[in-house]
Amino acid sequence: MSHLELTGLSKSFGTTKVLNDVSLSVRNGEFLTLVGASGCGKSTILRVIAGLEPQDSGTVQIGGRGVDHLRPKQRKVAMVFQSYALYPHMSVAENMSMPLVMQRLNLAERLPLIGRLSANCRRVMTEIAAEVDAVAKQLQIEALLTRKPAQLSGGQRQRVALGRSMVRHPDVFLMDEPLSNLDAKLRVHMRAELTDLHRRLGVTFIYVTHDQVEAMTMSDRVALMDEGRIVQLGTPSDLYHNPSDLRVARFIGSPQINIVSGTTTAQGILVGEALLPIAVSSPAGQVVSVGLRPEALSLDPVAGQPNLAARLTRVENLGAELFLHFVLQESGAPLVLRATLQDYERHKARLNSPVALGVECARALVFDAAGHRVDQASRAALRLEVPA
Amino acid sequence: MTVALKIGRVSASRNAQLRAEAAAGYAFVTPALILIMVLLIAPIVVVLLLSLTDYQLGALEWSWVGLANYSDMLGDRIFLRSLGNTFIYVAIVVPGSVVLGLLVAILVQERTKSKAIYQTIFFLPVTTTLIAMSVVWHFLLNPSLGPITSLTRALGLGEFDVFGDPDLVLVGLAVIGIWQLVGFNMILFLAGLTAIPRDLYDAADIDGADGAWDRFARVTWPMLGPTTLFVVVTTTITAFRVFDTVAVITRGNPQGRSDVLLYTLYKVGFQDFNMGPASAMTIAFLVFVLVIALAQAFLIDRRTHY
Repeated sequence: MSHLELTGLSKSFGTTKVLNDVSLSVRNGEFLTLVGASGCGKSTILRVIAGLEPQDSGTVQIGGRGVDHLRPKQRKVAMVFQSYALYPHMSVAENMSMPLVMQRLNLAERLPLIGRLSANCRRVMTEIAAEVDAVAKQLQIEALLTRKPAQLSGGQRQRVALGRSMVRHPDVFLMDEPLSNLDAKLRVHMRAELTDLHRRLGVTFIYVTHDQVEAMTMSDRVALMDEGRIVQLGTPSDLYHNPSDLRVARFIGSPQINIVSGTTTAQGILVGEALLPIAVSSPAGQVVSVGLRPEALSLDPVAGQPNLAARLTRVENLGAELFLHFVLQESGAPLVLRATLQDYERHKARLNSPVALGVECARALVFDAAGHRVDQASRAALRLEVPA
Repeated sequence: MTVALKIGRVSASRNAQLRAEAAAGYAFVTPALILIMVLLIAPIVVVLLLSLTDYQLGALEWSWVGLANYSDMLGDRIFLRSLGNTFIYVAIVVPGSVVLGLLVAILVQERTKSKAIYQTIFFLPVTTTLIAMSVVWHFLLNPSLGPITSLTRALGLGEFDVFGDPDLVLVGLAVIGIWQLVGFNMILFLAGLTAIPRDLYDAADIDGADGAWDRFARVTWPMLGPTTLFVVVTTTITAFRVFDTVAVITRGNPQGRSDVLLYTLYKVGFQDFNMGPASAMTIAFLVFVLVIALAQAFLIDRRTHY
């Protein structure tokens, strides 16, 4: 069942088109990540969903009802901001109570001191305190409830911001780069916690990030955005192994995909003097980009495998695996190869002089000059050959 | 043995270096210290000493009178009246100019294109000379010639002799004081408003605090705490120093109802040439200002910074 439905969203700031006809449907309970470079419009989508920014055209539906005319508080969404946006003058408990106080007390009851005179207000405040306590326990911040945000570390503030969004039991969680202000170690830790939280709560998460690792590791599906459009929407694995566009191939994956340029011929693609037997849908004589993931290259090509002559320039040792940086002999284009430690040790002696790197053509991704994928035909065929 | 000697020599040269550094440090500090002494501390000390004498401006002889000037001052009806008037004036000007300054700042902040124009208009009174503007206000509120009087007369409200009415005179002066301070306070509040992160308003929108009152009470006002404190303190000190309008428009009249601290001080010192009592009043004035400044520095400052 589609839970959040965006149809034809467009938005401009002045003459700058930030969102260009974006449509997206998100399943109930899905963890969907919007990823892209800064300025691609991903945060604007979030703000439009939240109702903080009106769209120029298009509609937003949550749980089957249109919410375009509703104010943010009526949309049953919660948002976690990159800056956390905690109220600095309120304690953690007050910060977390805020949405409930605004929801359950009327204007008179919210007045300081005077409100306390009403029995209803006292009863509701007790209820709220209990609910805040329960959420704080879940997030293990119950010891911090009396502190002010300034007295908290970045990770603790992050939890408080999460807590504030959780107390209302929203239908949709919107997260705007929530981890980007944390240090690297904590970010890895919070990644796991957020995924865990998503599983526990079972509600829809829309997560915005510029970090492709976050997108890959946390999401059910990822929408990669560029220039106000969704370039590709798919599972993390889809985006990595089967990108539809050169921009996707470049954005996803670390280290970045290797791009070498080649020319189409009737027999395949000519890269320098090497012929890669890949069938493409473009006519012969076209210049194309061949994308090779670091694991699609090998140090010891098997007999008959097409290979590229390259010279080693640098070794990055990550312990269990190594990234070997080469340059192509012919064009000087850089190539990165992912190797195991054993592979590297075995071939180390040879690497002082230029070597032939084997290319696994089945994993090559070919893009035309416009960046569109043109080798789908061959991939479809390959899939048939390899039994699951 | 040689090792011990070496250590001794090293530490001796180390000590010499430390002494040289200390000397250099004092040398750098000295000019500033002298300037502070001569320009800030010395005048206060002189006034303090004068307040213990019966010195008359231009007199050749004087003698120490101890604390007599202070005890006279505390029993002096005119001094106490002017002190009371000053407090009333401060009590009107501070809330008036702070609240209006905040209100104007919030209204101006929300303009986009006309923001600069409104800012300039409201700031204009700050840039004018209060002495000159006092003359203008005096004319505007003149009971026989003033346009404001003509207006109230035309509206059937009768005539107001603001500066001649013992009950209205302080209010009239306070209005001028507010008129002059609103623009300045507006600028300070605008700076404070600009510093409030937009995210907080977004969060407030999502949390349901999206009405004008809730946004103000839950975000704007608490976030302006440090600014407000600063504005209140500067406004209080400025209001405490009221002099120009009184000297130009009312000269303490009618019936001494607009006598204020600095104007009385001026009369005692520079019309009656009694420097001793005038110095005692100056010290009293300084004590009040100091108390306000200290209150800011030690008491409230800690509570409004996050």
